[in-house]
Amino acid sequence: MKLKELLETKNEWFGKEGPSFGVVLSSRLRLARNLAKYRFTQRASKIELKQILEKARQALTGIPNLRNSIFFNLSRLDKIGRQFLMERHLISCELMESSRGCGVLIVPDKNVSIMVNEEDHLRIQWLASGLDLRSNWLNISQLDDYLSGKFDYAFSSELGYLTACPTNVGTGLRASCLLHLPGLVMTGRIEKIIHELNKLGVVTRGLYGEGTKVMGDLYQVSNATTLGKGEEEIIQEIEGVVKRIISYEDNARDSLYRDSLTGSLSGNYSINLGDQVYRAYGILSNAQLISFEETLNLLSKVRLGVCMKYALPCSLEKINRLMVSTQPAHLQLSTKGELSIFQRDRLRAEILRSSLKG
Amino acid sequence: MILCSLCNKKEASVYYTEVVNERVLKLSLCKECAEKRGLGMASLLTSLSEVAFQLHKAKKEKIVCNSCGLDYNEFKQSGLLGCANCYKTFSKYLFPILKQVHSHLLHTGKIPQGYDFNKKSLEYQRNRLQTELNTAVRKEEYEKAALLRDKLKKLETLLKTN
Repeated sequence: MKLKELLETKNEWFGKEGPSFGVVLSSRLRLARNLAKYRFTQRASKIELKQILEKARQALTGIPNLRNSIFFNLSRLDKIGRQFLMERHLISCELMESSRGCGVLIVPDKNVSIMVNEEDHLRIQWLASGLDLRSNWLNISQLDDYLSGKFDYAFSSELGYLTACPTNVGTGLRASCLLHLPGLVMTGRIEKIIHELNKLGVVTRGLYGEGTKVMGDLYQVSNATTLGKGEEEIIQEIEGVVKRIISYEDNARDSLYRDSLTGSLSGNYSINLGDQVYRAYGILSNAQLISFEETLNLLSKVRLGVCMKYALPCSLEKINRLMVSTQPAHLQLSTKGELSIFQRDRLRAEILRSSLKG
Repeated sequence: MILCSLCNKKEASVYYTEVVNERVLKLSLCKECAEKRGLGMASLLTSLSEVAFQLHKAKKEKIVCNSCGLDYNEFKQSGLLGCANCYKTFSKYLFPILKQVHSHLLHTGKIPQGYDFNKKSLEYQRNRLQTELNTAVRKEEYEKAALLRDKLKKLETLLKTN
């Protein structure tokens, strides 16, 4: 019942057009925190986890500025429900698969989610549309300050906020952006860029985060270092890197566009942009059965086409919504039942055909 | 272009320095030879702490956190610590990991509201850094000294604002 509320919420991050929307789909700030008097999640006993979950539930559902929040005890949610939350990027893959006492607080109209008992006791997350990290920092920091009054955080003056994994210690801050980079992929430049990013202390991941694969030319980039730098410094650095990637991507797109008009093959690629875009549109608007992975890969080309101003009967916002709504759990939640792969692929194709016809 | 000291064929990209009782060993290795020796990026995190461990101790120590019961092997396998106290218990193993991942070893970000910032611990750290700085200068390790000096500056600022 509560999940249906989410399904119908208006203010999702993927529906709006944020800054640099053509390349940056979303920005995310995440803070990792632990309670001082309990063992970290992996080591804690069932009783400890239950106590932490209950403490968290009480504190989180009473936050003053965050009305209309929904708290989910994940052990009471079925598989489809948990996957739905993961598809919305409100919980991680790890939390979705966890069988330990965990939960999440979601504030739909603010795109805030607070995971309880994931790798750390608390993971506070703030999502925004487009490239928007700096303005969200104040919001999440204030929320963190409020919560530090409710919980006794594990903190040392030397190492900062103490996290289960040493790679998160210090600020516990992960600042990331979800980027759409079809230009760099099609021109064969993406590998080099990723290599350069690694040298700059930036980590690249797939669509659903750590350990997931790249689909639809979507890359998540985030800071690798959390200790020894201030939070604003980390955010400023990542923003700088993302802006650089945006210019590389724009150059690649322009290059593809110019070559497609003349039919020349100036780069070491042999695809024609216009042809790729319209073929993708053709399949999406006519297929009778289609998998999610294929959908995402084709939508990537159509999205690129819309950004490059090709004549197509859909907006970026519509394409973003389709990228989310055609995911497996989303389909099954809208029909209120488990569907077989065949049924999902068929339903997905129906949705795409009706959405994309001009 | 520097060639790998072991195979002499590929370009070196891993520079390994080992110091044992004043004796210094330096190796330039290509990616493949480094992986084979357990010195490539994949094994660097565990091997660095292992190398330090083996160099300084003859017998194996069994280190267990007395707050949560986590032992070193479990930590090595999962990469996750068991509780806040583990950071003290396993500090010497964490040092190379933190250096590798973050390059810095001192928190300079925000502090929880109402945290009882123990001035004593800050002063102790400053003294420790100052001692290390003096040693580095005496040994003519100027690059190390410069890094320590920067850390010390940050610490002095923190102390002043508290």
